[in-house]
Amino acid sequence: MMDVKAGDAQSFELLLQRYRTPLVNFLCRMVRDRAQAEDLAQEVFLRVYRARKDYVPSAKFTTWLFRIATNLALNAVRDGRHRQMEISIDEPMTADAEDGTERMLDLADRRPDIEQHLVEEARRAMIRRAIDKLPEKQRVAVLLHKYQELDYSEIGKILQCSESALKSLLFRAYEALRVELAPLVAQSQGQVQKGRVQ
Amino acid sequence: MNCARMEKRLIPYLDGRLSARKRRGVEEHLAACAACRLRVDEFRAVAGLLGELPQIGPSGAFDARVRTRVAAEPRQQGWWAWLMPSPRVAFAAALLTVLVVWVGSRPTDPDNYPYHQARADAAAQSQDDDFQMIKDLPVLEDYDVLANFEPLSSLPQQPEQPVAESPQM
Repeated sequence: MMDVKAGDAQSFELLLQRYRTPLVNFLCRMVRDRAQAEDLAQEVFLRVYRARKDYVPSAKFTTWLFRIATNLALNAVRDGRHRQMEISIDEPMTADAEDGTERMLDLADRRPDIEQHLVEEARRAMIRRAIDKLPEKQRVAVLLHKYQELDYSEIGKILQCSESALKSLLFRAYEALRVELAPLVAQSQGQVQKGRVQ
Repeated sequence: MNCARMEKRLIPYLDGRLSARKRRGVEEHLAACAACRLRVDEFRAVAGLLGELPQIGPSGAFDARVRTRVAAEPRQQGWWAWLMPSPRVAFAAALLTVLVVWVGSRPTDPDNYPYHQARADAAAQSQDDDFQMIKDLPVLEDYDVLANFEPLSSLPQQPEQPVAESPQM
């Protein structure tokens, strides 16, 4: 970021390559709409570009980046601009985080039959719904903790709360998910027990 | 260690981010508390389920859109840029100056040009009259002094001399 601040256009390009996928993923899970998530991610990069001259490295760059993203996402959610559509944001399309190229995964390679595919889709839909049901702050905490793997102090700064408060927030979020995903959790526990017996 | 304190230690315990001392405390509690042990197992299962969701990447046009929007941003300039007017402002200022000079140099009402000429002529005539009056000012002053000269009024009036008749021709 310091190179971007110094006017190095190539460095901004590197930031774009490195953070576009985590950002879009995070925003998609927050606003539940891929097109809007991409618009918001563009806005995040634009704000980073505009603020480059005033950037002071008082915290990690990722903290700053995800704080912008979180504020935009929460505003979008609260404004009710997101569409309440059950769109398949987890469609079998993925981006290679290294080179950014997209490719369609071959369903036949991953799933031996359509029944298995439907079971997996149903599980994912249930997990998505459980995340969606979380209060906004808990959802941000879980997404940043689980998918971005930020440390507690970073997430605390993004959500403007102490580390101690964040740990309680995460505990409550996982507790809510445990209740919401009870059937899948029981299934997983059963498999674990079966594995131990065998 | 009790169940209430587990609220702040359970997630760091699962993440492996507790100090050795705190981790031992949690493990001792788990060995004695079946409810917390179950919770730990189920939290692990939840974390596994969350990991099943694939990562959502940006579309192919994402980078191009960001670059387009960044390119459309105005370039930041130094403080001296404030001193340099933009070409549009400079052109507008020059045009305004020419317009003001042109409007100021022409008669305000072209239809009443003779009227203005007459006023100019009258002013010139008035200047001539003033000049003539100033030129004759000593004579006028002498007349004024003589007309109001008091000793003259106290002189005895002389009878009017009969006008000598002119010889008859």
